[in-house]
Amino acid sequence: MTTQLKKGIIELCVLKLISDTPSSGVVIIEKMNRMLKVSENTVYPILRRLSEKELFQTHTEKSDVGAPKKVYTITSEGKKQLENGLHEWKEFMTDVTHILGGNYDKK
Amino acid sequence: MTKSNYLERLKQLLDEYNMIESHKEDIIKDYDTLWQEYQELNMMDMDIVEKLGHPEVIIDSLTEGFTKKEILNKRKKQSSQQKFIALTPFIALFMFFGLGFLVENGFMYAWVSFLLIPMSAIILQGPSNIIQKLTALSPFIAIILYIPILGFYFDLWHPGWLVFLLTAILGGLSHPKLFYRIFISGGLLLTSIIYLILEVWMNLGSLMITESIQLPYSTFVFLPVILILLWIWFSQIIKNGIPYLILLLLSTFIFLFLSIQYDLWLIAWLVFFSVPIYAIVRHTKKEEKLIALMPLISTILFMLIGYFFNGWAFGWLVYLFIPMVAIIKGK
Repeated sequence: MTTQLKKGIIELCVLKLISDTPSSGVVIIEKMNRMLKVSENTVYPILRRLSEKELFQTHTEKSDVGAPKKVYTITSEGKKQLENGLHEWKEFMTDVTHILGGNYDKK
Repeated sequence: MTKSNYLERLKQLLDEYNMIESHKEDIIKDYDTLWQEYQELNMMDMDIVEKLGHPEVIIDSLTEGFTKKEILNKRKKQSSQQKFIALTPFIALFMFFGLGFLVENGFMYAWVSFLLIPMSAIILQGPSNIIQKLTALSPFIAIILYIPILGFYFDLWHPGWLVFLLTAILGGLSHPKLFYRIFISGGLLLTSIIYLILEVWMNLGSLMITESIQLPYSTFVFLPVILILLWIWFSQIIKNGIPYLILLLLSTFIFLFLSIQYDLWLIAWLVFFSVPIYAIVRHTKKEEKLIALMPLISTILFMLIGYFFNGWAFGWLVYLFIPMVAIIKGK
């Protein structure tokens, strides 16, 4: 899989995770690592890039135990991006399934 | 690696990029928070570094879209150097007319100012290695030393021509092995000194080869060094070196013959250009060949126009070919 494609898919997954549950950096990194076996150190730069694009907003949450945590929440722009991404992903998956199933007549 | 070491190293790496301070602070703050969160999970420093990625590893993805300050400065420097090189034809023109009109017999020397064009390009954008830079500059240094200073001013056309061996002496210094550096450069330098002593101070007279060709006896002092050079080249079985040796020998003999027999000291030295011309034709990239050859071609044209058509006053125009070709052929 090309790096660019992989990067796009990881971005989509991060958007989905945060859209479902606003979370701190470590929680997102750990979930991504556990589910996709993505190298942990690639997740933060993605979080940062998406925040810069204003797809996420952050706020600091105080914790009873330990230091305050930076929590990422999806913005309306982020939701729009997620929706588009999911649509494109589903179309792509359908096309791939057709090709791999030997069905070349779609479209 | 402790947290403070980690963050400090990350900051150092971020500082190498043209990123605004608030961006950098944000990243450092985020990594500080991430580190704390992992610490709260009772992770060891080593494991946290593993999780977050070593600063050297993550820096590329953190600085996507940003350029290193070093590269920006280099680009800025290159741009001002290119501006200066583009201006040199005009600076040379001012110098040419200034010297020509203000100094008595100034036009005899003023054309040298046009050598500023190729020389500035070599100094500013030529090889970074100092010996290679000096080797590339040496034909022009030799021209300046030979024609206006040794030739016109001191009337030392002979043995002033020895300055043209400068290219070979400096070229020898580029050899990777000390032994050969000493033999090639040291040998040529020592021979030139012995030749000077024999020819100038001891004045040995000439050897009549035929009725029309006479060579100073002292010329034969070059024979041992030529034999040593031959031995070096053959012993290394460097076939590439042999054409240079043949060219250097041929150039020296043609130069001496034309100069002594026909009194062409002022023009015959151009044959020494055969060595750098051969090197450029052989080793320079196809698209850069003409650009690299232009300073030499311009000088040859200028000297021929000046000498045979007495065109010293207008022949300098050929030096404008250098920037013209560079603009047309350049990227």
